[in-house]
Amino acid sequence: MRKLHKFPGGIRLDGRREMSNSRHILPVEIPEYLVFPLGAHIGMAAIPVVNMGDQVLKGQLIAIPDGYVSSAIHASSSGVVVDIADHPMVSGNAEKSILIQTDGRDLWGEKMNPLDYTKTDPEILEQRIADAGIIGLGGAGFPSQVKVMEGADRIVETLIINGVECEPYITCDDRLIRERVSEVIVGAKILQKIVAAKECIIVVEDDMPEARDALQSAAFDGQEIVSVPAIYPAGGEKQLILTITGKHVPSHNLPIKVGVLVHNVATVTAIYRAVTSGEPLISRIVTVTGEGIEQAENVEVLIGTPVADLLSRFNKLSGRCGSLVMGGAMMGLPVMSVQAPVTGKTSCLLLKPATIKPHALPCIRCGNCLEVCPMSLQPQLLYSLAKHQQWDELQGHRLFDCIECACCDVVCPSHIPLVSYFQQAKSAIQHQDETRARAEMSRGRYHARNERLQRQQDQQNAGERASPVADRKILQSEILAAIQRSQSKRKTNIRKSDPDVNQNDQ
Amino acid sequence: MLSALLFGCFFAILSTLFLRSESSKTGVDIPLADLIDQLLPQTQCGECGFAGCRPYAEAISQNSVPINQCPPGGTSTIQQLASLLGRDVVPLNPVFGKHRPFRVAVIEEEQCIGCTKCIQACPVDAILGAAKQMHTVLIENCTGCELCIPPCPVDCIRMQPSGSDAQAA
Repeated sequence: MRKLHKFPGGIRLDGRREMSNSRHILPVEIPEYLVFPLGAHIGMAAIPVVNMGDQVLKGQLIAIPDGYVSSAIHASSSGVVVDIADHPMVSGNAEKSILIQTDGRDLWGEKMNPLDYTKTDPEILEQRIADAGIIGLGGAGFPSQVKVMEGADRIVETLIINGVECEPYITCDDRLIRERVSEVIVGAKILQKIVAAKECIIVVEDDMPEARDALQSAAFDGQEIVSVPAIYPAGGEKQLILTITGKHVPSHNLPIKVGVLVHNVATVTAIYRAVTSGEPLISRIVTVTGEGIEQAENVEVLIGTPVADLLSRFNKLSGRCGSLVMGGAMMGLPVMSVQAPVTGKTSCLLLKPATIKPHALPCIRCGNCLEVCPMSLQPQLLYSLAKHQQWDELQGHRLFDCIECACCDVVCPSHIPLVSYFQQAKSAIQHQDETRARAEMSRGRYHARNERLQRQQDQQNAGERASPVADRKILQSEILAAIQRSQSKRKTNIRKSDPDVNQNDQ
Repeated sequence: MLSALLFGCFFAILSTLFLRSESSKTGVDIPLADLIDQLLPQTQCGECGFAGCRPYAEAISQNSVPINQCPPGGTSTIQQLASLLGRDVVPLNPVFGKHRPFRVAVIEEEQCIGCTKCIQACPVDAILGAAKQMHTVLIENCTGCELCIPPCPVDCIRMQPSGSDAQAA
């Protein structure tokens, strides 16, 4: 048995898994329209390679990555591109998206060649991950190929496959492991081959016994199945690494810094499909749950399906549908527009009864937040600094290490929305840094221009008094020198190419 | 008695050493005008009545002008200046203009006649072009000072939101 370490803080939450974890994953019918935001992943937005009016097939590439940290996008069903324009996202902000009107035929285009991973070079497998447009399906949406590439370039001691769904309500990874265990196992094997990981550990929570048993009976040699205590946020990347390996990932660093790579189980199955059947990322499993849904389910949804279409197949309980959240109850975002699409990041749709948030009272410095913070921060101090806009001090107290898990919000007896203060402070600091950098650049350019103008002025003044002839002489000697340089260069070039000329002649 | 005296001397020396290092850390050597200049937005728009941010910073350092004459900096700049100089926070003087979100200049290129007047007006060399050739604004270098707008004879320069502000809008 592997010795597990304990991460600081965290809380035990009511998992509410039973609402959705006993039923099979269901397919969902194709919606009338599919929406593909160009910036659905972390990094640069993708560049569309289709135009309005184009006929597209299922799995067809519709946008290519722009730069290193970016991702390709594929159509998830066949149809016609009807628009490439701004479309509302979950946050309510608009983002440029490709809109496809489906034709209901769901015709596959040409798939990529299936690869036998045991006989294929790691570089080719890595390229396949990029070609398939796979992004982290755990919730962050980071392009998987970048993560894999970082791993392939360095030594990976431990590859962790994250099946820990620490958020309440969500069961999509649990169901995925139970029903498609071979995809998880083989996908992990493929990933292990690409990054040449010394060990591969597949992690679940101790309240997912069926998933653990399934994994254990299917695992290859060299793959270890570990179940960790169900303490939120055990599935957070840094918390999981600490629990499994005892290593701390330093601030502002990626896990590869300590020789660890973490991928979500759903990402791993997407990699499996991309390699063994040549299918790009076009669907994902979403848990639709909450007290407002008559029967919670896990459904396999085409990426790009609008939230409204997905919800329309569920019976809602009247009087219990107050707020709709995308993601989990702890870290999810309120859905501001039901026209927003399901993306690779959407693990859950949660329909809850409306709750009236109690008024925030003053901080009584009880220290509860300090005890539950999994990053060992001091939320009460950060809160007071954020309130007084002490941006520099906030950074000194590691504001940017906050993973926004909301444990502090849950335990605060004064109901202070701490995390939203931290989020606002983070964006204010980023804005301030941008402004400062811009001001610094402008100052430099302003001084450079003034100096140039001054120099010109000086030259003019000097030219009136001193002899302009002298200046011209200097200029002419410079021109002559330049001509001589270029002539001598030409001569040597001719000399170098001479033998070639002779050879040609012969 | 003697030991107490020695002890006292020791602490006195220590504290002066400590204070000296503290003062050099906080940058007493940096001229006040530089510190003020660092807080100004470097728009170089001249809306404060001076030829740029640096001249205004120098005037403030000589205590000759109020700190509420910078519309692009707005309230946050006034607050920062006030805390640096130990002066009171006062509202922005509307005589000099209103605070507005950051915008950059854009040239309508079909209308540009290539007169180079805007190039000469730009305080940060952020406009590129040549005589009788179309000009363009390097938006990543534009400070949004709007000094290029009045000289344009064909009114082909407009201001538009930029960067993170554009996304927020």
